Amino acid sequence: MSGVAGRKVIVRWTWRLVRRDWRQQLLVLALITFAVAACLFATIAAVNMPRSNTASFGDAEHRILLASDEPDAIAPVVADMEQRFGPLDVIGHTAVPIPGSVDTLDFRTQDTAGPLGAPMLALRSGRYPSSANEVAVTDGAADAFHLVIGDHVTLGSGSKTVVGTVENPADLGDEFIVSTPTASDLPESVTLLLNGHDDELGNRPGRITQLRLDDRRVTALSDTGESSERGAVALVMLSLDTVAMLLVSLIAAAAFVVIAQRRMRQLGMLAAIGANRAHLRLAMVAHGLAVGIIAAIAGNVVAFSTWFAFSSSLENLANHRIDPASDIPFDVVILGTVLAVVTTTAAAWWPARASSRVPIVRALSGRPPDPSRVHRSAAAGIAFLALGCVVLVVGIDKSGEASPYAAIGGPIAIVFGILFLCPLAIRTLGPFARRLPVTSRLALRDLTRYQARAGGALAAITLGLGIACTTIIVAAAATPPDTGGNLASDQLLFRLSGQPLMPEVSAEELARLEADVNDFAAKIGADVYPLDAVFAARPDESGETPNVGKPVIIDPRGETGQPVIMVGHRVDHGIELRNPDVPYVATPQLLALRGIDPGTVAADVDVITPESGPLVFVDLTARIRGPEDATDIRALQIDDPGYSEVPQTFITEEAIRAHGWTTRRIGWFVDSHHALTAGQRSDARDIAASSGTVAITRDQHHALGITRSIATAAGMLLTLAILAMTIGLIRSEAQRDLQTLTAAGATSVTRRTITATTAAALALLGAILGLVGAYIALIAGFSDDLHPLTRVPTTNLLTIVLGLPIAAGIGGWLLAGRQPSAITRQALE
Amino acid sequence: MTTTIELRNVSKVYGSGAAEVHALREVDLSVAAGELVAVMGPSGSGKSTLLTIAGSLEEPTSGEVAIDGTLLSTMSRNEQARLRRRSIGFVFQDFNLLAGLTASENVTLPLELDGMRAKTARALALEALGTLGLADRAGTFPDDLSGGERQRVAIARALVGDRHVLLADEPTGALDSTNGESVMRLLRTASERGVAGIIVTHDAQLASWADRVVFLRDGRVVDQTLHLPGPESLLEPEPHR
Repeated sequence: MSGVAGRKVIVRWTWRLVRRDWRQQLLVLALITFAVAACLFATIAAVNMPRSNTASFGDAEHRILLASDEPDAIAPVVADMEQRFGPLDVIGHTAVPIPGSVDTLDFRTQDTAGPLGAPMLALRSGRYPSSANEVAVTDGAADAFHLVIGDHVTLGSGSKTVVGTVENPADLGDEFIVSTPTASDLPESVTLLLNGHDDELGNRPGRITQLRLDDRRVTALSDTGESSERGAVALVMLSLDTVAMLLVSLIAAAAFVVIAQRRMRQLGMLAAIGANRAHLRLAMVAHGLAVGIIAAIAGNVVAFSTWFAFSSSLENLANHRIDPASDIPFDVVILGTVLAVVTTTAAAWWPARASSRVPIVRALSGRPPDPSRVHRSAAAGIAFLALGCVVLVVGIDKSGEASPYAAIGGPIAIVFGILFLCPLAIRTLGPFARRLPVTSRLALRDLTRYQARAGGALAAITLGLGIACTTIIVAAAATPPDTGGNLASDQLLFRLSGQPLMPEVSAEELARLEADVNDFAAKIGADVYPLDAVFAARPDESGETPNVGKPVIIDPRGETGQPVIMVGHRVDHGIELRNPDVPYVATPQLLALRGIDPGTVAADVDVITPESGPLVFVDLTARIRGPEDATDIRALQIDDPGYSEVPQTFITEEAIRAHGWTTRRIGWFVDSHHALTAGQRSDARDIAASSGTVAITRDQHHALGITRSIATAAGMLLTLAILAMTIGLIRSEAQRDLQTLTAAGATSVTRRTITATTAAALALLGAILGLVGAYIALIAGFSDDLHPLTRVPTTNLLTIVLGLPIAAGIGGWLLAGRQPSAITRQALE
Repeated sequence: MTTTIELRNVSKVYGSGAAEVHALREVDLSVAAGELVAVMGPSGSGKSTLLTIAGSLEEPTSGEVAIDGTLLSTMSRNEQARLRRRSIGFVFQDFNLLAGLTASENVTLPLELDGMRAKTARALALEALGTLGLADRAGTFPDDLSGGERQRVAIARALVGDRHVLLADEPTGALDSTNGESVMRLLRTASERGVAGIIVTHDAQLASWADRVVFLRDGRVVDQTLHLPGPESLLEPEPHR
């Protein structure tokens, strides 16, 4: 019990000092508050970004998509399904053409109060349709059809009245017109929502299963709602929060060292009247806890205020409605808040431990302890760095996906490595001091003498700049080089919009478009290469061929991981390919563009492609359902063009003839032989806008450039803030020297030079260590392919390594110069 | 009389090699309960070092220190801290009150650190402050107290509870002569109640309040006198003991 009373009085005293000296802690409080607020807001926002299963499943566990080119064949299958799985919601789909456009819109029929499908609908205005003659429309549908409530629109069996506007609250991009089910309007396809159980449905989330139906006139695909991405996002965000709070705690530790130094005499007094080391440690730890709690509460207030103020603005970004009150992941918020308090308290531990070990007499005199060599060894630092690298190398797979353990453990081990190496790095300044003027020499030697204290500040600077450098380097690595990206700077692609389903364009319209493109190319002296896509055959006389106008596409990563050429893959009912591409007709002109002599292509070659491995062909519309029905394709492998939008895969004219496919012009590739100017790019976009095409030019990647600039500025500002907080402490330890210098006639120039040298040296050292640390971590993370790291963002990194020390030096020079207080008796506080 | 504070052959060396400084050399000193000893000497003679070693704030390089017959060298760091909480009171020239605590809280601090209930400690603190004429200033923060009041609070803190060792380092150094004399009177009164005290001072007149004066030079005790013939005589120490 005696311990409790003692701790209570220490905590009471600490709390009084926190309240009394709050102005001195404003900077660190603001920093932690900002960090907590930023982390929490970013976490809440990120967790709310993924689209939930409700968007396409409603409240159902499974959905079955039934499609057929014979609408009357679906109804019996629906009845069978209801018998097989129990009650279900049926949503009918019919693609209706948008007037004056090549696009279509989904006309749905569903029970607006259906027990499973209701969450996919929300009324915005008016009312829900109550009969087959009434419809409700989404905003996008209303715009497309120029409708307002009360208007009439002709759909399916006849004219319908618009009685309301609706939306899919879980997917704001879902544009449709909805009405009640009717026997007269048979849908092209239906979605069945159900909660039944069946072995065939399976429970593997996200897996699309082809259901075996006796009636092969209907295609039935089943899939199960994927488990929410929120958990994964929350884990990633907590990892990022942990790294961010570790950085902040390092900075806070530097600030707490300053506070401990200010309280040194009071702590000495406490010890003199009988406080033991545990009491003294408690005084500083309680201080850290108090600051952490205050900052966490303030951070929560700021984060939640920001969330409630801006959550509606995030709905467009998230593409779904967000309920700011109920969509808060409180478990993650609580964890984040506890993390903030724990890291802040932990940040006070080291200053607490150090100050409790200062000899009482020395503490009473207010003198800093004698400088001592830190015990941290270079070996420990290198061991942690190596451990971090190994964790990153092992934990990141070839696709760049990192396991949570690697994402958290690797950076943390590297941070610890840096912590251990920082004091050692400061020692390296000593030898450089010899050749410098006396003031700079004194500054550097003081840094090396008090390396333990300066090491904390250096670690915080190093970590901050390390994160900034990592961001800059990764952004540079993500920026396509001059020889990569979507297109070269002298290339341009005009393409009919709508990929991979190509819109029907009349011959006259196509001729006009081609004339516009040719005119543009002639003006800039460019060559034009027409691009023709391959489509499945037109129906035969009997109408049995169901693959009318369906494109031939190539999926570089099919279900089995190998490239697949597919015909007739539907993309308009929720099943999408991951990375489909359109192969072009291998015209001599295009082959010449790719440097291929048509005469060298063997007659039996079907496909010319950079894809490696065996290629298979699947004709989905011919009811070939599985890999076992796939046909091997004879392919000629060519080099990858290095640009994603340059025609890559070609189907030979022989293959087109053999399969009975047709071709259709879908675009033009323009090669100007000189970099396109901004004006030419703008002209191309104008032509595209006026003709319903899209003009694709080389991505400029402004966002990545902005990211690099922001990271550079943020890293520098953070470093200057850390220096502002810690430089006073570092210099205060050499205060007596400064007083002696002043007594010996040193002017403010001397004091300014010392402070400027100290700030510049720490900034330079932190920049070098941060840069080296960033490259070590990234080399470990990119170990499978180091090529992206060869793109070095020289300007940004030089700004940090050279510009930052100069800025720190100038800042130190401007802020220093105040005459030190005389060597007199000082009050306890 | 029983010996409360005893220093036997105590030496203290700071630094090493060429930087070695002998702050104390083989000092012997005993202070009995109820005895007030003044320690005088020029700057650097080792007066404050003697006080901090006697109060367990520092360890001697050699020799032994005993409080109430218990050797400090046999006590752990925590036991020494407990000794300071229960038996030893310090008074410093700069008062050294904790600014975040009121006068009474400063006085109760060692008691509460020792586990005494706040209410009980406060009653004892108020009694101590009342004895020193500061009952009405109990709730005042140090910043709002005068120099004399602050030092009286510091004395109250040094004497509160069952403390019977008083160590004062220049307790009147920051006070005017009136307040200085008042403080010495309080220390004298405490001594008469059975407290063993050591007072470091430069002021021969104030030293005359003590029962005995020990004169230090270069870390050695060069003179001890039981009965003071007058403050001036202390300034003419004999060349040898």
